[in-house]
Amino acid sequence: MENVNTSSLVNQAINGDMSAFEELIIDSEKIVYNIAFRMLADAEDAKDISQEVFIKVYKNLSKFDGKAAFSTWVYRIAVNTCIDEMRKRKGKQNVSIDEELKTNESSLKKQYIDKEPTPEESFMQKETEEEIMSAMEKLSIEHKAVITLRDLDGLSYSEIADITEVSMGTVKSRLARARLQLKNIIVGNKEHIAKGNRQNN
Amino acid sequence: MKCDKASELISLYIDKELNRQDEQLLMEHLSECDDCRNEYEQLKVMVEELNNIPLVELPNGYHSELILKIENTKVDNAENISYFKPKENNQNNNKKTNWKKYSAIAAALFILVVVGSGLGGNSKRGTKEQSADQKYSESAAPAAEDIDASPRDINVDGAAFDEASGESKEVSTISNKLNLSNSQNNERMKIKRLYAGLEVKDFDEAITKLKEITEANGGYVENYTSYVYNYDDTNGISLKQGDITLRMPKESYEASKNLLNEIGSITDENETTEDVTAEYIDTQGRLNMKLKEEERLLELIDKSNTIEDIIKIESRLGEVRADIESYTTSIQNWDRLVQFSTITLNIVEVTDSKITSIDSDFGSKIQNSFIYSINIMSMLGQNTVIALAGLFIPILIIAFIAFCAVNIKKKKKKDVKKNDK
Repeated sequence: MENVNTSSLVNQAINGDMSAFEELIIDSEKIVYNIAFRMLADAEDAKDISQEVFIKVYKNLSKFDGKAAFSTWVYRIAVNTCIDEMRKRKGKQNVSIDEELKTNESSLKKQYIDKEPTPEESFMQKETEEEIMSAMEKLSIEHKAVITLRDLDGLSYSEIADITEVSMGTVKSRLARARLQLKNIIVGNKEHIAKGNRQNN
Repeated sequence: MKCDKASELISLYIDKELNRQDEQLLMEHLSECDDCRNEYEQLKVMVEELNNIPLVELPNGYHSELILKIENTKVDNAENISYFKPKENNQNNNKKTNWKKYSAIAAALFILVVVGSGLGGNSKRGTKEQSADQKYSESAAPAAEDIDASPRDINVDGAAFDEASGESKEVSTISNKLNLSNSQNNERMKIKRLYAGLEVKDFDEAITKLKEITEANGGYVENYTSYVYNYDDTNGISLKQGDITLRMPKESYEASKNLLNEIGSITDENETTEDVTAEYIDTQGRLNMKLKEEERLLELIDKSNTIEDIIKIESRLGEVRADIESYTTSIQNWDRLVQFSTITLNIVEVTDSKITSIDSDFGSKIQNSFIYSINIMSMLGQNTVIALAGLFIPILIIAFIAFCAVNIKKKKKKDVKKNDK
């Protein structure tokens, strides 16, 4: 979106023009919802929080300084809101470290071991997603955020730097560590399951 | 290259963010080091899987629900934070509560005035104004958009929460609106009110002319009643009289006054000019301070990190916004009263023969007393309104305190509810 167009829409929206506001946010709705959904891991929460994000956007329209793209600003509010929400809940939630994977036959494990996708792989897309999601639950909030933004939502390094308000260098190292961490969790689960299988035999 | 260095670079390599040189070095290392190679393979697969996970679709009705919520926040914010109820939802309730309060205050004052001014005095057809239920304090004349010629009620809660000044608006918008208001430094804010009694030959014609003149000048009819007051059996004549309140732009006020002579003969008149400049500027000053405070609080919220801080700031922000709204309302009320002068006319249709006949028959006597009592009532009404106008500010303060008291209670109730949650 051109800068000129955006700032005139913003002004109209500030003056109460709802359709201008809708035009501003329509393209970011899905991603904001996805950010919330992946961070909070619950559809209801994702809906509530993501809508709260847009309400915040609406209330703070006059604070948009036009330096970054409008969507970047929106995503920033989204990420911060989700992080705040997660910190709020951290005390209440019980994270089970020993959570077992839902499936014994892990498609991911197969890939790590065999490196050959089997026909089953394509049907197991959903299960892979579940495995990854449950592994992600064990990541720190920051790691979860950066993986969501980069690998799940496909945002660029520079966008992520703007959104999370850190330097590019920080984004790069944070992402590298997050991915490593996630991989270890997944592989660790595999070992955990393998152990279980051995015990059962 | 050592393995920890390689580890850092693998992630970047997967995203193709490495420069040629680093890429070269990494490839060399990977060809030599099995551990790192495995790590690379695993990460690569994982990232591919992550990338393959599709974006979740928005749930049904997400967008429309969102827009609804945003519309509601305009309303909700006013409800939660301000002491003035939004006109859309709660107007009816407010009308009733306001009426009760104001009728009580008005009744008390009315009695005072009645006792004070004494019942003797003029029986002449006094100038008639609206009775005490025209609230000059809290209510305003309806906003300019509502202009129409038909008789209508004055909104008790006439505060103009139009879209542009809704609660959720930011600081700059409100102050922009204020800058458009009348009182710049040079101009005095004067509220002009004219009460006049007019005798006319043809009542309906006079009313029509008045409406024409009013609308031609960009004004509007605020209130209008009429009734037949004398039915003369012998001649079959029925005479009408009535009251009409006009709001004229102050620029055309003088001109309209002169036009009255063409419509009928003025039996009496009374003009008042109320200078509210001092209060106006004072209120503007206070409003500016509150707006600045609002800005600062909003900045603070941005910087604060803990939820507790944010909650405290938001609470203070709520109070500040309540003040902002009340000041804005007062200013807007004054703007309207100044911008549109009020002309209240009591119009009486007369024939050539005098109404108050010298005829001493019983019927006429009754009529006379009836007219007499109407005049007394009108005079009392006039005194009341004058007294009210004079007590405008104290009434405003009393009413505002009453509002606060009631709404602090409500706020406490809501706080209790919130805490219970």
